[in-house]
Amino acid sequence: MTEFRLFLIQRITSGLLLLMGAVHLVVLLVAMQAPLSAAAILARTHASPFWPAFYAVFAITAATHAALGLRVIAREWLGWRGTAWGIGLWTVLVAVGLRAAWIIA
Amino acid sequence: MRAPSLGHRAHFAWWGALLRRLSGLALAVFLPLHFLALGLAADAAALDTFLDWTRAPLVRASEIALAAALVVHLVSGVQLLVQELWPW
Amino acid sequence: MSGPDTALPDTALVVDLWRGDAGGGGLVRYRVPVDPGQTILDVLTWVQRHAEPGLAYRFACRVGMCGSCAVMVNGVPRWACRTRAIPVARQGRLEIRPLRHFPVIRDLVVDFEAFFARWRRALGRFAPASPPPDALAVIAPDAPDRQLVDAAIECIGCGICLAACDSVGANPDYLGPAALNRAWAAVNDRRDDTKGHLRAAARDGGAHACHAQGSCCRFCPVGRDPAGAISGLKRHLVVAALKGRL
Repeated sequence: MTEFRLFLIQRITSGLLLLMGAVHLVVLLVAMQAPLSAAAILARTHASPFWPAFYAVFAITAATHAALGLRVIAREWLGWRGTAWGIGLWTVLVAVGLRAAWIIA
Repeated sequence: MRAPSLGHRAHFAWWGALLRRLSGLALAVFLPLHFLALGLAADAAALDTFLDWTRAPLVRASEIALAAALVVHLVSGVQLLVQELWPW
Repeated sequence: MSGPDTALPDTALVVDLWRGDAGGGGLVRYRVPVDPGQTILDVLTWVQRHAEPGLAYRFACRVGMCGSCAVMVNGVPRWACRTRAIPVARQGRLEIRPLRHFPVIRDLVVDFEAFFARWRRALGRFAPASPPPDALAVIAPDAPDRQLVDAAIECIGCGICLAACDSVGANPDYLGPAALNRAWAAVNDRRDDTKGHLRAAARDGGAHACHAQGSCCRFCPVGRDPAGAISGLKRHLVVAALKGRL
């Protein structure tokens, strides 16, 4: 996976996050009309299989964008050059995100 | 990291790039915490306890700071995408 | 720069010059007589003539055309011959260092080999498309692609953009603004083999390593737009990659 391909993925995920983030923002604004509670959150996410699927994709996209960004920061500010830690970080972020998407399903 | 040495000559785009990076860093640190918090939904009581905790003023302030970081990162990112991809 | 060799006037500039070599060095303080309108080059020349004959520094044209005299003045990359000393002094003090991000040879003289190595790695030269054309290419001066070339081609390789760019310092692989700006000029040359240039700009350390900090444009003494050139390269690269043409 060349640096250029990672750059391409970063740009693509940023575009996707703009769209999905807008959807998420609308959901938040609707949700905040009433006090937050576990029951209210789960009622929304259980209402349709679309939501867990949407949040699974959102989580993977966000985790990828974050991991790639952290990778560049670590290389430029800390001098970290290896690939293994970046892949590990991405895996952890994706795993934690998908776990959350599964739990709210 | 070598400290940026442009002193008082650091300019608008330079601050923009730095803000984009720092806000992204803050969001990237927050993201797994957000995922873990939502994972509490497995136990509704646990999530409700957590949500009560988030009403504390310090947490509220952090949420506002995070929302600000998101806005900064989003605006800065869109500006970058337009600058890079728009056929000027 | 005029004035007698012996008498020091009432006011003097405090000038801290970096002296040393590849092994290391430090700032050495000199007191340079104030002469209204003096440039940094005048300051360096005074030091070399009256205080430190062994001072090493570069200059050639003295009139802001060749770009040889680039140095760091109070943390900012500038041409010594085109920078007036008094306006940039801070409380009457000047700190002059060799160009940032370049290996030092001695004092204020830096090694430009890495600068040209980046140029070569970016394929910053005309590479004709094959097969060779039958006739001379006719390119009108107001053709859009020619105008893009015109905007980029006047770079004189002074190195200030590399000194200004934090990404050059943070990422040793990064080709940097000057080399990529030259690659952009070549990409827009319709006689050129564009694919080869794009492939070079897609290599590790290529256009994608730019984070749009914009310091290259801010400090370029001849008003080039390397950041714009790099954005253009990114645009071409993204389109070519998505079309499977890279």
